Amino acid sequence: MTKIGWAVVLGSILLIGAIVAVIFLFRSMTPAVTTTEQAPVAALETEAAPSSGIAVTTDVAASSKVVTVTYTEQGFSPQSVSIGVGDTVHFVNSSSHSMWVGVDEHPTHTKYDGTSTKEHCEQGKNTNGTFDACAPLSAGTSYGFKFTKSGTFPYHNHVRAASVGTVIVK
Amino acid sequence: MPLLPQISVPEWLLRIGVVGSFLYPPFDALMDPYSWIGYFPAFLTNLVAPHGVLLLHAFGVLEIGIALWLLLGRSIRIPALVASILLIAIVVCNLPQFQVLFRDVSIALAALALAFWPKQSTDS
Repeated sequence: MTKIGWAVVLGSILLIGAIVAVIFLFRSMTPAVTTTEQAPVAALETEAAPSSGIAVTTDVAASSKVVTVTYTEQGFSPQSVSIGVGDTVHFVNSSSHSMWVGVDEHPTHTKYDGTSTKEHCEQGKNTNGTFDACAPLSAGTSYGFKFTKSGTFPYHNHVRAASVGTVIVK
Repeated sequence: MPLLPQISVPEWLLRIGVVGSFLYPPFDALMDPYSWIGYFPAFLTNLVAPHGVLLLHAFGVLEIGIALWLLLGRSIRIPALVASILLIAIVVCNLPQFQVLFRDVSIALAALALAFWPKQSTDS
């Protein structure tokens, strides 16, 4: 190979190394984020809509609805739910493996408020109230999130990215 | 005999492009495994449950092996074909994430280009 060829190869390797180094540097600089408590799912009262297969409950304290989405081996059911602002979606892991609900895109989870997993997750906890469980939840557990703004929020199971669903908040 | 084959600059660039896409994930997975483990198809993670992270790192070793083989270039058609098959398999198994993975199709085609590169300039 000619000298120019070696120069191009070495230059390319150095460039890739520099890009990787910059990415690692940015990742190590975790930005300061304000901590907010995610609204707890308070006392629930079943309203029930058995014909649709969607369990709908009412949060008595806040008069907002709670919709349950079940996660099984086949994925999220129902795949799409429509709720109002202030309503909560309760994701129940009825599968035999882990479930980490997070808003799209995989793997950064930025589509709810623009912050990425690196910014809003710390030691398995969500630090800014965005739509991200921030940790794999084992079988039999659940995750609830109260949607405080309107929009269409596609989500997925972070540890099985092919399992997807959508929450439409009107 | 030189360790690295004497090949053209365009072929080196093609190799480095494909190699880079196989070297980054295994090292990033050491720090952030769950962002990568999600791309495994369910039947694979079910097979090794609850050792999904171990599977991820084992796959990382395979990726590094493919990358080094591509770089060294001996019988490059084999690692190039394996690389393209793996990349297409990742896309097919994660079609709902195509918005993120569409670049893998391009990288798979680049790997295929290496697999079908004219013999005299590839196999030493």
